[in-house]
Amino acid sequence: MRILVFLVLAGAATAQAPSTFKPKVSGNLKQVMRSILRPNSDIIFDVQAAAPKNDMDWNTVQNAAIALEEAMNLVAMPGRLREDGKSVPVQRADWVKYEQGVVAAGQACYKAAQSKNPEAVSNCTDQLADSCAACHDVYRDKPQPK
Amino acid sequence: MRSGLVALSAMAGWLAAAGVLSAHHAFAVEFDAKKQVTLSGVVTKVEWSNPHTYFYLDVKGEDGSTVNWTFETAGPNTLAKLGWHRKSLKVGDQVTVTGYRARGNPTIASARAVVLADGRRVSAGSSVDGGPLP
Repeated sequence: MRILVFLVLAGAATAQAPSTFKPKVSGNLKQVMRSILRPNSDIIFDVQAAAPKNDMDWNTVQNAAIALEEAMNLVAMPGRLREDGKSVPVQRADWVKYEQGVVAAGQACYKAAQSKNPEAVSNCTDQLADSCAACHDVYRDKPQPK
Repeated sequence: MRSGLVALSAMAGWLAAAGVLSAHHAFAVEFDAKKQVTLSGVVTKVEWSNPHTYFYLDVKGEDGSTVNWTFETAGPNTLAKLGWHRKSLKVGDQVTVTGYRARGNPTIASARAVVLADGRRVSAGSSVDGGPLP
């Protein structure tokens, strides 16, 4: 009897649980930029002005670098829209290059943060700033075609 | 729990010291493209940093008082592409800057063009397209 009850409950639980988690977008590109990329890039940029004081601070910098890398996955998710409702141009070769640039910068900054050397992190900010600026110049600061 | 709060507080202190809320921003959030300003003065400090370089300028007003202005430019790599180098701007240099006023602070501006001490006129990499350099 107990086995029967267990099987019935287990079956019900299985029926209710989703078979897989299906990622879906929530925010637009600007919101992803402002909620993830901007604050985490600021954490890395600010090492130039104030060096992390302890391991916990360095962990924060490492995590920020990881967040930048991972954020590119979010940006590229199917269905991600820009603020104006248009799709993020993930098929465009230049866009892909810009995304890869941020990923590479995130990797470089993660490695620099692992070294716990403020100078190394300051150096990686060149790569990070360039990767941000390259995309912003084209897709944020210039009027987009209608 | 207490140790977690202490840790968070310590981390917040480090981030606050670093000025974490202001480093990376869009032009329109901080500056007003309709409020142009041109000022001449003496450079008092230069900070070559990413994503923006900052320099500070002592500007004398008509009443004789001196006001220290803060100017934001593009980062070092972008400035290099625009013809700048690390010695382009030094403490003590007399320069003239055209830029756009900050929205929330009367002595901060985004520099658009700078006439350097050697007379060269260079773009400061402002993201606003204001047409040909003045």
